[in-house]
This record gives sequence, C-alpha cells and structure tokens, in this order.
Amino acid sequence: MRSILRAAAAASLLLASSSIAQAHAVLEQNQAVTGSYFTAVMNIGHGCEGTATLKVRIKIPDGVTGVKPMPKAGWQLETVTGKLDKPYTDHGKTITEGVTEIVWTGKLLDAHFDQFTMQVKLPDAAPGSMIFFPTVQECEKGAHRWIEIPAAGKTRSDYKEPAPFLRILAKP
Amino acid sequence: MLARVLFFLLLLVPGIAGAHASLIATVPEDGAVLEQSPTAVRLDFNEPVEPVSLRVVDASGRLVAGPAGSVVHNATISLPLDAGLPRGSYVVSWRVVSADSHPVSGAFAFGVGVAPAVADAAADEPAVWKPILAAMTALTLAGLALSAGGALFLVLVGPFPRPFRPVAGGALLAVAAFAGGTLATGALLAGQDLSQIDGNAWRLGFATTRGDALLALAAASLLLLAGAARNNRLLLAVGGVGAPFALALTGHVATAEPRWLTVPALLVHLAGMVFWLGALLPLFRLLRQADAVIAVRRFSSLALFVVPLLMGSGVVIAAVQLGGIDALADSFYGSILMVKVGAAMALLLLAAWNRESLTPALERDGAVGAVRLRRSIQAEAIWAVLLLAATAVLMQTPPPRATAGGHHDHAAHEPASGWSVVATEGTRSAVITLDGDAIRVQVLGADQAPLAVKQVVLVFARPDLGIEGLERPAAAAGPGLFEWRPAKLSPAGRWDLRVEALVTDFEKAEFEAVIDIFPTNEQRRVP
Repeated sequence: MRSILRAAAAASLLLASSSIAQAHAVLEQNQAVTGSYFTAVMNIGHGCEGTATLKVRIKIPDGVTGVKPMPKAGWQLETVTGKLDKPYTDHGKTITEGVTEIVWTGKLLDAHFDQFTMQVKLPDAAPGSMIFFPTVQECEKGAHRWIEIPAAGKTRSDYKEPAPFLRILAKP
Repeated sequence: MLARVLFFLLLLVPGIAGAHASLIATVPEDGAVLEQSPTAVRLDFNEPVEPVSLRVVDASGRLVAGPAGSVVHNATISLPLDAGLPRGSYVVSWRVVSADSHPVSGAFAFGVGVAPAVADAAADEPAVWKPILAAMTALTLAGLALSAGGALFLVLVGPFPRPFRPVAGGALLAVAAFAGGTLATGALLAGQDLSQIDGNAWRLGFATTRGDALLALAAASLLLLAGAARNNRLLLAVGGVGAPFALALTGHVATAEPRWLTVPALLVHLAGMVFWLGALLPLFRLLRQADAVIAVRRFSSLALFVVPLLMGSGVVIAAVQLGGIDALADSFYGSILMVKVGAAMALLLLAAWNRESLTPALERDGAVGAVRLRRSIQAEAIWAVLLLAATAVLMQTPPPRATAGGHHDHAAHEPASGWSVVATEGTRSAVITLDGDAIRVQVLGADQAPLAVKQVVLVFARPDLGIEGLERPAAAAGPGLFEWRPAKLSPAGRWDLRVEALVTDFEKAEFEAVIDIFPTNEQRRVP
C-alpha cells in the first residue's frame, strides 16, 4: 500500500512539473538530411553534482563544415580553429584548417536549462549513419564529458556519458 | 511491483522526457574508516530513483546485506543493517533505475575498524583450510619422497626388491595431493567454506604459481611412471630431479631474495630430502632379503655426500626466511623451524649410528644385523613423519622476512616479477601492470609509442559477486604513465578492470582486462 502511495506521490510530482529536462547533453533535433545545412541545438539540462555549468565546449566532428555559432547573451563565445583531421575540397580548393571546437563561457545554474546553437553544413554521409558531437560541460565542481561513442555491438544506454548523436536521413 | 509499473507508465505521459540520475553522496563515504558498524547504508541521488539492487559484500565476497530490502525516501535509498557488521572491509554495490529507464550503477568501499580493501584477507579466512593445506602439503612431500626418491634410489643405489613398486603410487599421491592443495588454496583465496567450494576455487588456485608447479609436477610424474614401467634409468633420473624442481616453482622460498641463492638452495634441499627419505622404505624392504648389504653400503656412501648438502641448503633457506636470529625465538615460523631442526638432528644421529655401528654389524652377521638396521629405519621413519609435518606447516606460514617492515613484498621493486597484460581498443593499446602494491597503466598509440593521456580512471567490477563499477582514479607517474597505489581491492579474486583513459578533452579510450588481486604474500601470474 505504502509503495503505491509513494509511486502516486512521485507521479504527481512529475506531472506537476511541466517537463523534466534530460540530464544528458543531447541535440534538440537529432536527425537531419545528409549534406544539408543544419541548425544544431545542444540542450544542457543539468549542471554537475548540483553545481552550475561554467563552460560548454562542443567538438566539431569530421566532415562537418561551415560552422557558425550563435552568440548568447551573458556568455562569451570562442571559436577554436585548427588543423582538420579530414581535409576537404570546396570550390576546387583543399581546405586543411577549419573550426574544430566552439566554446561558450558563462554560468548556467543546475536548476536552469539552456540551449547552445550553431549552424553547420553536414557532410554527404550515408543515411542511417550517426554523427557524434562530443560535448564537454565544465562546472563549478567537476565536469561532464559527453564523449563516449558506442563501440560495435553496444548502444548509447550502455554508457554513462554518451556523446550527443545526430542520425543522418536520406534526401527526400 | 505495482509501484514500479506506475513509475514506468509515467514515461508514456508526453512532455516528461525523464532524467538520468547521478549519485551525489553516500553514507558511509567511499574510503571511510568507521569506528563501529553503521546502522544503515545510504545513497543520495539528484533525482528520485527506483532501486534494483543494493548489496553489501565483505572481504571474502560474502553477501552480508541486500540485494533486496532497501528503503526509498524521495531521492534517497537506504539499506538498514540490522545485525551490525563485524570488523573488516566492505564493498557496497548499487544499481538503480532513473525515470528515463536508464540503469545507473556503481560501487564504493568502507571499512569497520580497518582501512577499506585491506589486502590481507586473512581476517576472514575460513579456518578449516590451513590444516587441510598442511595435510595436502605433507602428503605431496611423502608422495615425492616415494616416487622421486624411489626413482633416485633405483638410479643411484640399486634395484628394488620385487614386488615393491613405490614410484607409480608415490607419483599419483604427489600429484593428487598437490592438486588438492591447489583447490584448497583457491578456496582460501575466494573465502569459501568447505560446503561452498565451486569451480571458482579451482580457477583461483590454479591461477597462482601453484598452477605452474602442478603442471610441472604432472609432467615429471609422467616421466617417472614411464621410467618405472620400462626400467629406463634416464627417464627415472630426469623425473627424479624434475619432480622436486616442480615444487620449487611455488611457495615463499622460491620468491625470496636473493633469488640466485634461494632457488638453487631450495632445489638442492628438496632433492636431498627426496633422496634420503625416499630411500627409507626401499632399504627397509631390501633388508628382508639377504643381499641388502651392497645397497646399504652404497646408500651410506652417497648419504655422506648428500646429507651435508641437505643441511647446508637448509641453513641457507632458514637464514633468508628468518631475516634475523631473533625471529627464531620470536615467531611461530621460528618455533616450527626448531621442531623441524630437532627432527632432522634425530635423523642425523640415527643415520650416523647406522653408518658407524649397524652397517658393519650387518656385514658381520646378516640376520641379526638386518633386524637391528630395520628397527633403526623404523625409528627414522617416525622422525621423518614429524619432519615432513613440520615442513608442511612451515610452507603454509608466512616467513618473518615477509612480515618484517621494509622487507614486505620484494615484488614491488622488481618489475620483472610483476605481472602485466596488454589490452587493445582499435589501434591503441594499454599495458596494465600489477606490480607489488601498484597497478600501472601505460597507454600506447597506433605507432606503439607512449600516448600522453590526460587522465586515467580504473573501474573495477565483480559480476560474480554483483559488484558494479568501483572507480579509482590513477595518478600520473611519468610521461604517459599512470598508477594507482596502494592497489588494494577487497575481496581478493578475479576482477574485471576497465581502464578509462582521457586521450583528449573530447576523446576517451576504454580498455578492458581481467586481473587477479590476491593478498600480498601470495604469488600472481598472467591469467
């Protein structure tokens, strides 16, 4: 009897709050058409061990180009460029350097939720494949490294801190 | 059950994405040393969670609380410990489900009256094993004396009287007793009682240096059996020396420093013991027949050569193991050693009397001399039994040199005597070394060169005991080298290890291996 009451209490608590944010860092929209321009929105719903997030760093995966981050009020925005792991050709020119990382520095309380946005051009990846955006969340106390990429035969739920993923869809 | 169904039905309500819980605090804290037993174990999460299992495991792997019976209050789970926990080291392993149906798990350790994960699991050993191990060792030595000693007798002294056949029986006895001792060692390490023995015990015991020794002993015994069947002196000689050699592969003496001294001394001592004691029974039987004189004379002259070697090597081993003359009087090891020396002295006196008085008497007057000599050998046999019993107890007792401060665990300073395994993930590999009281990790890149990683965390699990990920951070110990020291895990046994190496801020490499963690005075080998 008591366990039912407890469950009911938990249920009402959950229903009362409009929605509980994901504790994982995930992309708001996690599917996109291959080769398209895509607005990647990273949801950060929790701090670390109850403390505020001070920095959000998103690594740009191989093949993703044309990265333009969206500035955020109250946050400093930094674009890190460097040598690309996979150089690509654009309008006949071989591009070897590009944006490798976007860093937002500021403060987001654990009780709050925020989104970090950037526009990217996706590579012509095979439909059904996954592109991962490893994200590091540095907080007042500790850090969350959402960087675990599932090995063959394993799924995201097998990992404690899986990397935010984007599923590639075929051209309509 | 109904509560859980309701809990998960909530996930179907749109708008609730669910949360992935994380552990904020535990009572007791990870690594805490408590003066007395806690009344409950408590875990605080950042969100309400549903417990799946919550176990408390003691230093020998026994479940002392859980997995059911935990109480949930908001975001806190607690497991009451009605019976207080006795002094010792404990691991709490937990598994919960968050609202997003993802399981979250982990483990932490604490100690009551001792530091958690004390490497010496002796406090919790079932007491039944020590005498069983001693008995198995004594039987192994007796089997060796009969088989290898008998073989050496055949080669060096003379033929057996028919239909005497000690070699085959002795060999089987030695192998069976040694195998039994290996099983007992494994059960001791696993903390199992007589009634709890399972395949785990055999696996653990075989994984120590006893496994190597058992294989070598079996091989030597096969040679002995073949040699005895075909009366082939070469096979008998090789088996007769090889069997004692096998026994020198394991045990406290074989790992004592300096190895160049102790290992040959042990070999000489074992071979000498085997020859001398192994000759008693054949001589006894031969003396029933009339033509024993030649054999007795030949044995006597060989003994003149063997006995000093036996005594000398014994003194060397004792000196190394005691570490100092005080230990002779102060320690249990010293007391048992004195019993052994006493028995050896009695044997020596009897042997001297045999040589000086009884053997000439045999040559003068066959029948009467034979009777007297046989009585003397019977007396020798009694002292031999006492000597073997004392030796068997000595072989189970940690020598004073190992428990004295500063001499503890020479393996810690000898990387060559450590143990390592290479785990790979893709093109990268990690060399994991278990060396004395440290676990070291060196990550190598695709080119086999050391890869500078930023951080290494070791995650240990025992699926057989239900212990989930116990995390231990490793400290940087050099370029690309990380170590966790002191590497103490409880309970002792075979652990799954996952090495999480942070290669860059955005890339983590994970390596998996299986390692055996034993109390420090046992030997480890590559599994």
